[in-house]
Amino acid sequence: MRLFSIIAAAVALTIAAPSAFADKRAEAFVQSNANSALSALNDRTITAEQREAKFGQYMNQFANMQSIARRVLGVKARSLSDAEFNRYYKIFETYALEVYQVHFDQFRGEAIRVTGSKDDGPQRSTVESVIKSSQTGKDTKVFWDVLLSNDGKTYRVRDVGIELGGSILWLAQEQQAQFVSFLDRNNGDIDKLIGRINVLLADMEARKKDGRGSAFKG
Amino acid sequence: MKPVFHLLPRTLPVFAAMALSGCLTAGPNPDDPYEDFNRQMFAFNDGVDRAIVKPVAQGYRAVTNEPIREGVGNFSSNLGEPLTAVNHVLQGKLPDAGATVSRFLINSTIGLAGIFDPASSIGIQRTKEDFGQTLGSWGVDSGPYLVMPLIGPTNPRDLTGMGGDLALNPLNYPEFENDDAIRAGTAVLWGVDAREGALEATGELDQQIDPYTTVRRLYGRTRAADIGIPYEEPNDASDLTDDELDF
Repeated sequence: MRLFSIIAAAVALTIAAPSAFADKRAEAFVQSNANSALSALNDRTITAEQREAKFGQYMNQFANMQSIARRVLGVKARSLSDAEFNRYYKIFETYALEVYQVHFDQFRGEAIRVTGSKDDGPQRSTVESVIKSSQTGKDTKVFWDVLLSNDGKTYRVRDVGIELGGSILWLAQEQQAQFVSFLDRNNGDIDKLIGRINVLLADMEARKKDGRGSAFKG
Repeated sequence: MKPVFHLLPRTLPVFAAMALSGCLTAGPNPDDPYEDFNRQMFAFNDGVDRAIVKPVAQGYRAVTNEPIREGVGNFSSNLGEPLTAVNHVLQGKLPDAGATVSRFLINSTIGLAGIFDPASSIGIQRTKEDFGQTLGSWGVDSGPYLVMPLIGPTNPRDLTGMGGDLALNPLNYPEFENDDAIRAGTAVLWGVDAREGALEATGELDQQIDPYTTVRRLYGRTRAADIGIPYEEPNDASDLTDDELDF
């Protein structure tokens, strides 16, 4: 009788703990949504502008862009007014999507294959996947830092890591290092950061037009 | 006479020590104490690159085709094999040293002075080791990040390693007619070829918010991976906050 009680308690604990099931659900979330976002980049039946809009729509469902936008500012995020944040967020979202497009462009025409995951806490896991680089023809590991919402219903990607030369390049972490460094050297002036992002966006746009940019040309 | 190659092993560490002790003042950033100096050198190197090195690399690409550049790259890499083998030995990787010596012998003969790479075709893949990696594998700490004029991103360990490489490279010792001129020419060819190969990557660098920070992190990450040690960059965004889960 005591044995049954222990088993029942163990089963109850397993069901109650979200992390026990989080990995498989997180894996399915990544498998489905990553491939949707990638397929948006490859959809040649629509115009470049429509592709860009579709990719942005998928990425907003896939990742918590507002949270990423705050995080990459470091401690500076706490001192921003709502008006300042909204002004910054408008341009950040465009920039972040461009950066993701450039990185994902190397996987054009390929599909993500989820290979496993590990729990990093009750509401956080790292999903590991593999995709063939269309440029090198080699398999590249892509890691997804995935969060589960407090209500246990929604998943969102927190960061994407691409294996590069034996180490992992986490895109949001790289952005944070650069944003914080830039703000530190410009007295925390958010408008200077917005100006810098605008310069980069104009350069990216020019690159796309003359064929040096991402998959979105033509 | 050996004006360059025999002096550099002795002068580089001295230069590094002078720079660190006298010319540089540590700043407030503990992750990059010489940041102000480094950024000035970064800007200087960038200016030299835009004015001279990059146009030369673009010209080289314009007047050569892919097979020629591959041959030049193979030739340059082949000349680096003896140094890699010496560093393999110093790191205790004797099988790797043997493989590298085999590569050098095969490619220098059958591969026509290294222009072709038959060794890779038979499964002996290229590895690359330098004395900075060797020092790292012995547990020597990298020290603070530095950007040196014309050399670029480095640190005291890797700067010392550069001097060590010049001293340890067996190909720097044979004497023959015009040996220094030939070595200098080979070094320039290697540099131009390497810069040509990095044209796209540096184009991406221009699209970064703060290219200096990108290069610093990239250098730290790449060297750590080369040595086989974890790369740790403080102030990263890996710590989770409660409000991130509220969506």
